[in-house]
Amino acid sequence: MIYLNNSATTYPKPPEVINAISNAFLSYEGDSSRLFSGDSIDNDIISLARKKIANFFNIKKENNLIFTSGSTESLNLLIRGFEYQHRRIITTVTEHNSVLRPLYRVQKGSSIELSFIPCDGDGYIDFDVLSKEVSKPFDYFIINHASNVTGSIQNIEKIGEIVKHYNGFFIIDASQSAGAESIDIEKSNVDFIAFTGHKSLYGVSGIGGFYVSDELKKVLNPLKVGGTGVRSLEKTQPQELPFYYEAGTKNYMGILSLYHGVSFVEKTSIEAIKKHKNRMVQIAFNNLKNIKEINIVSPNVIQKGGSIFAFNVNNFTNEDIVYILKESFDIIVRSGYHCAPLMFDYIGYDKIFSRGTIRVTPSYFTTESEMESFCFAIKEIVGI
Amino acid sequence: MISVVNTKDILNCVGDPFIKEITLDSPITKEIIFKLGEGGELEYLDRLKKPFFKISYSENYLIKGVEGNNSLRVILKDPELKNGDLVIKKGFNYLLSVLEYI
Repeated sequence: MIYLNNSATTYPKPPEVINAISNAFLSYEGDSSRLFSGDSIDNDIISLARKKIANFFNIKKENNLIFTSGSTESLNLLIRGFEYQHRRIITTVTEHNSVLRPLYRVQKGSSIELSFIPCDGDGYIDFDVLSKEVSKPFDYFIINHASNVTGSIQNIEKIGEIVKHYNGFFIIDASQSAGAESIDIEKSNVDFIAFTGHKSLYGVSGIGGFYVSDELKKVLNPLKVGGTGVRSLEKTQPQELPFYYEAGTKNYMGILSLYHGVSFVEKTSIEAIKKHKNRMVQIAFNNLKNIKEINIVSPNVIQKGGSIFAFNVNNFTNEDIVYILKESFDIIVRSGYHCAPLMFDYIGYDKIFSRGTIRVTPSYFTTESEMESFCFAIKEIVGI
Repeated sequence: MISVVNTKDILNCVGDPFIKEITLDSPITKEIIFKLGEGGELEYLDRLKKPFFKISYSENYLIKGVEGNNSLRVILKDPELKNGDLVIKKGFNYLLSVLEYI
């Protein structure tokens, strides 16, 4: 099998992730803090992972890094746990349903206003509209750092500066970018960042987390409360971080995988990973760009170092191309709206991508020969 | 006779309402494809090592698959159509009737 759907989840995982989990299953399963004394958790894997990931994002206080099941849970907590003051949220048309659906839910039956900043054909947001929108009071500014449709990367340092100037909370959905792009919480004035572990951080599915600033924590309630292993006689959730947001048994195996996944990214370097993925995307782009039946999404983003090759083929439905690739060639790619439905009104021309796109996303482990096999398959399907 | 060993409803990202995947107990042959094609309009991509086929029927369903594989799909053509489940059932029954004579 040739797997080219790494924006959905990375496969394969690095050997150190696989080994760590296999060894842990063989030795014991569960939360190491429960297996040891329970009163000192400084050296257990959860604390070590928290430290490592905090350092990875340049988070000064590691306890402000909270583990969840992934971005969706993090974003639900952010959007549904907040005490809205201005009752206004600014976001963008590039957002994933993990942001949009919680937003629509809090909006329903309430007076919360949602403002959407449009993007250009490559997926970069419109700064003129942004400047106008932030001049009216708002609670949250939520932005998808890296688009899973075009691969465009938003300038979060610049946006963070503007948002802070107007005193709103600055929120980043880093589902696609964590591990794929450098993120500096301090430099970008970020109040909340949601990330998932199973994509570019090379962990397993079911683990992720968020960072919350001290200021945002004051008005952000937990969605779940329960056991934390500390202050068990109290009737309310402990206020200290990370316990305030981390009720229940943690996903120890997920956190272990995340620790080793982040170690892999650090050891390999984000720059090297980016470079490799873009080189793989360039193989597809250079092989297929001159075929008149093929329409490519955002060639500009590819040329700027993007890691997504998205396209469609005249006279074929996207679903048929994906089906043929899988059933005839054993190549896995993805078609559709990629859970970012608003963006399709902005990319392409003449509604050429109105039924979504076929998305090809390599990882650090994708080889040149795999990309060439993909190109060969497409040419054969088209009849070139 | 070829038998159906499993059927599964598929949901896709663009919201097509009815897609049924059918697994057979043996691979789909060229003979089956052309037999199915007699009832509709056949597209057959024989330039592929494992040829893809798609047959469009006037009753508003499609059957598609790949020669040599064990599974194929019955798909509702018009997502807006009412009683799509009945159309898919019709397509499935047509498939069964063809397989019976193979």
